[in-house]
Amino acid sequence: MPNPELHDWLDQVMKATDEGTIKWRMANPTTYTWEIPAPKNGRVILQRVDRMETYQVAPGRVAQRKIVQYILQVFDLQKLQVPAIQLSGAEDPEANTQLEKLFGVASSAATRDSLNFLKSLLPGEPGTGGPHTK
Amino acid sequence: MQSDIQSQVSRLIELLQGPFWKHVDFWVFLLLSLAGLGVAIAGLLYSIRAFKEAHQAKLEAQQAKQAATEAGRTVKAQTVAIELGEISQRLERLQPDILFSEARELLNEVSRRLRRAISPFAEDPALKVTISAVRQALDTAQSSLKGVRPTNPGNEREVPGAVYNGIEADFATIGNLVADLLGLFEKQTFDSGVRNAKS
Repeated sequence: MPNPELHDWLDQVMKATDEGTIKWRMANPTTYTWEIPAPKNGRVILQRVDRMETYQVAPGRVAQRKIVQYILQVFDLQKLQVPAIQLSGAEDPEANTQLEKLFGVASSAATRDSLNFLKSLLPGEPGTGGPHTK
Repeated sequence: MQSDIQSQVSRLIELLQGPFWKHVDFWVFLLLSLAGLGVAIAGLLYSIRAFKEAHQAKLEAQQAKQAATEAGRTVKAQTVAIELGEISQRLERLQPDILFSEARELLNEVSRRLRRAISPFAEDPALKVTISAVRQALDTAQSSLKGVRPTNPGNEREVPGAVYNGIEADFATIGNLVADLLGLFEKQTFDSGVRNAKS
């Protein structure tokens, strides 16, 4: 079970992400990062890890199922290399559920930002130099 | 003239009335017949003997072929076991700070060597299931690797451990399956040695 303070912190991050005050950047298709500028100098990394688990369906018969887990790492950039906090969904199923929600919110926000950029490219939208630009 | 004929008939009657074994012709024909029979029996005996020898030679040739095939299989199994041991060591090179390009290179090498080593045994009843699982694990690892391809390769070091986290479980699965295969190949080599000792 995640620490209650950590639980609250994750809720606040989710809320801020949804409101657009926290910007997540896609580092790779399964990882998002959030950079906290100076003077705090921090970096939060959220990663989705898919793995196949083999299980027995009947004596002598095995099958595989996909397991999705999430990892959250928080780095203090002044003390890089070792994460200040690391939360792994593999060790904490409850935290995994919360991280899954955060990943979904971050992913949606990143997609929304990309779509806003795409929309801004259309003629007539502000900043494109189209005929309606003032 | 008539007396000549009569004398010849008398002679013929005299000849026919005498026992046949007193005639040289009979003994000549008898000897020739016996000699022919002897040659025929000898020929038959030699044929039987030749057939037996040919049959024996065929059996020995089949046994030699089987032994050669078994020896070849044993050598192949030993070669594959050595290759699997090396692959197992390569899999341990996965480090937490590995970069995407290094991981891709490592997975490609492991995948190529592993598939090449196990493909001749894909239909072997004792290995079939494990080989199928290995191939599936390699495909899954390739898929997981695609999931950690950096959006901007220049910033890859900003997310330390991302590549490792993404593929570590798949590498562990491949490592376990390689260990299973290694055990099965070692068993095959052992069983083959036992069979050779018995024969």
